[in-house]
Amino acid sequence: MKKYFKISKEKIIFSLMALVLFVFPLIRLILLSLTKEDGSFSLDQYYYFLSDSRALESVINTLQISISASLISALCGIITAFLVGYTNIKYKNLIEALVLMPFVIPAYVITLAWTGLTGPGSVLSQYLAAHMIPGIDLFTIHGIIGMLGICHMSVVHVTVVHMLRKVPQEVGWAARASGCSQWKTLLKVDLPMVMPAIAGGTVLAFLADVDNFAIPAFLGISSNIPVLSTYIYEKIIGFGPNSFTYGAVLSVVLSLIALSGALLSTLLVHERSYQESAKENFNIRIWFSPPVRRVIEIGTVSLLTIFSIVPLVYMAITALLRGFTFSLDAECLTLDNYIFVFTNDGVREAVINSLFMAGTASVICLILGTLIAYMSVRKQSKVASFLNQCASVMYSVPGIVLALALIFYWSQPIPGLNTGLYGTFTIIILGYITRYMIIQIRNSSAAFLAVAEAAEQAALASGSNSITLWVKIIMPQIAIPALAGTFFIFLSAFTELTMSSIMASASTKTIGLQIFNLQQAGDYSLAAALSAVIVLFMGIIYGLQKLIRLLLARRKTYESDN
Amino acid sequence: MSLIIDKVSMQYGKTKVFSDVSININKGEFLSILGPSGCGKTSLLKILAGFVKPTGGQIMMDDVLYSDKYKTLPPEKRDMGMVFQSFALWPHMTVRQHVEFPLQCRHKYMSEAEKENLVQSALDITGLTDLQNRYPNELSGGQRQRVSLARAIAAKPALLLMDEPLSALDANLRVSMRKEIRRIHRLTGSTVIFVTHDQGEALSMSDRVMLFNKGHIEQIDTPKEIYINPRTPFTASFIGHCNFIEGQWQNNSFKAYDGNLSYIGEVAPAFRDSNICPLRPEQLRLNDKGVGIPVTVQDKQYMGREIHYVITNKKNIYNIYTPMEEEFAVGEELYATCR
Repeated sequence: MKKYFKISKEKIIFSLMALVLFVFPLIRLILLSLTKEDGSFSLDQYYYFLSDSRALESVINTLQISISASLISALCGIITAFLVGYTNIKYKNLIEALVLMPFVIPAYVITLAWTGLTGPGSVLSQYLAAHMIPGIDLFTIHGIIGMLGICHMSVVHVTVVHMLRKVPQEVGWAARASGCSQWKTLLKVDLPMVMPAIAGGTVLAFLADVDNFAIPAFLGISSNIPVLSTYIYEKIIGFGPNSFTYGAVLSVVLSLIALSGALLSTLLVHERSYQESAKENFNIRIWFSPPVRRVIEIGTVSLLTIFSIVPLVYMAITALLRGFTFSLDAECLTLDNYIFVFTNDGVREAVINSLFMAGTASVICLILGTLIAYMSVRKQSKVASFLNQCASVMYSVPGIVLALALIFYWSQPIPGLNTGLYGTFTIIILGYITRYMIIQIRNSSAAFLAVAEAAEQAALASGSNSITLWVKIIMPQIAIPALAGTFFIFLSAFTELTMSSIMASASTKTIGLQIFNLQQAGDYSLAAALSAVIVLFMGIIYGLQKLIRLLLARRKTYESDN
Repeated sequence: MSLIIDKVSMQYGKTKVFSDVSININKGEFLSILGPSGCGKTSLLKILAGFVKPTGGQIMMDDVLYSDKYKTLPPEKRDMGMVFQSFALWPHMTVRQHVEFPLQCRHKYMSEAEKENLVQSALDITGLTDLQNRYPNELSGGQRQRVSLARAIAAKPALLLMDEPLSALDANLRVSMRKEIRRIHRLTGSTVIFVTHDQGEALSMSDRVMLFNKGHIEQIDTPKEIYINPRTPFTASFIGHCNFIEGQWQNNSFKAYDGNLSYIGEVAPAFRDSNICPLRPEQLRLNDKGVGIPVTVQDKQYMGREIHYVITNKKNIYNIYTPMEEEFAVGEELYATCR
């Protein structure tokens, strides 16, 4: 009896969590889009949407930008994945790091860096103007497409490179032995076999493009190129009549676009992929002759450096300048911008806010996510897997939509109960938990799957109780992969902009918002200095994480030697 | 002469895989390359296929240079087909598309009707006609292996390379596929190079067996020769599980040091020079009559058709297979003689 009672209590808690955290907010959003101010059912706002030319322009822009950008990401990601996965080029780790950088560093920092590099008065623009070459204007639809394409190529790269490595080498050999040349084999055998990954990765990039707020906000708002995410932002910030209801309608439309993309991916990925479980194979399959290899290495590394590093370095340097002209003379240099970053109250507040909210959210995610992962992996709990699925849906709902849904729901979780949460830390922390929970669940699940269940049973059979089991057996084994997830959540939340752009109030400003406000106000140098400091901070954190991993890994091998 | 392998060597960095491997393989011959894992046999096959360049020697096929240390003819230009241990099927193609593939690649100028004929005959030979529209994930292990075979023989290659093609199949299927491969060999007339670590496969299927060990050839002979007349201790123990009895040779007759055991017959000089006689487990007999080398029964395995004994004499351990009716108990003190 006791056991039965215990299980059902768990079920209730998990179900409530799934409903309150994930399901109810979305339902509320949909309902809100269907009601009038007095609460009665109405499609008025949808009719208004159909007649709103700016909304239609946003939809068309969103589609055009996301499709073009995801194709660019796909092209670049496939090329780098092929080079890294199949060929004998060197510096593969460097190349992968350079590919991943624009994805890990917040998109608004990258965009800010690029606008500095290509803006009027920059060294590049002056050089181009002097040689009668038209300059690069990022504040256009093509600029937005290009930035998104660069920032999300890593999504395609990662998906494709793993699949490429899973293609058994014999499969290519079989084609060669059947009389097919090397390049034709790639086209006829390898390409079709990784097609699901290419399609899946491209759709993921598309979803990221649809979701992205920072890039169209930085580049599109001032040049009047609305996309759905920035249009929703404008409506909510504008506080006009019906703005929340209309925001809900736009959110539903944006979610439908994202949803159709996600559906497309499940259709494409579930094709005959019979080597799903195949091991990754790191053999070199394509040998370039030394001169060709050299050219490819130099070309790839320098192109990626130009895309990923040069703008950031340029940004950090220009933040040292007094005026707008680039010159490294002593009298033109100043530390004022950096001093501002470290002394300004607003900046300090934003940093503390972000640290606090990201820290709280990531710790809660670590505990809850690991618990959910344990329940669904080890206890095969159906409710836990349901929670898992809800969380993954939440991750594919565009951030701005999620933020809006949470505002609606948490301001009044039960009709009549006004919580006054809107504008507080709590709602933003809730937002981060809802958004990033799935990352923790996935990392912790993978960690649990890697620990043999027999190892747990062996501990129990050796007479350990459940506390020693967790402390001595389970935690040491899952710590590194589980914490890697927490770490990623912390950095994502710490530098997040999309959700806080509409959730934060004057007193709960985040770093992302601070940089965004500085940029919108035209304070490029201040925004650049703050961004440079943030990138440095992220670099230090990454370095620390690497170091800890290294130390722990050494301990592990030391133990197994004995 | 069809395929000439002349002093081929292979090393990765400073690690020697094998050196000075030479053999002439006749047209239409079925040659097994047999050896324990890690002996270099698969590397040799990859060199024959053109996936890997040898570090020395050369390979000629009908007066065409296939490989030497400077140049390798790429696999697609070699007149061959290949069967892989992992089958290496393409998940996005049907059975029929697999069989058509080598024809499209190798015989660009062949008429469609002729290609169709070849595809049909490859499907018929391998018994896949009814399955031709299936995808690999809809086939059983044995059927997948047939597809791999059908693909390899479709373009009627002069040379058919097989890399442990039966290892991924279960035991019963493995034995029946031996017959299949023999039949396909007879029907196609291709030269077959069959790599395996299973001596049963090598002995039962081949015209000749090349026994490979630690990067050199131990012996190349017909299955019967290699079984009955091993040239080296490795061959004797790997192929026939021979016991090495110490004793004295005089011309063709052998007398053991440890007891009244004698053998009359030819053995390779390697054994004669080191004063041992290789005797296969079925060549030995046990008795309790006091004739032969005194031994103790350590272990006994009932195998159905025969009984396998492990017996010891001082520090030597011997294996003996006896017919069912000669049954002894573990721990019994007996005598071993040669049949």
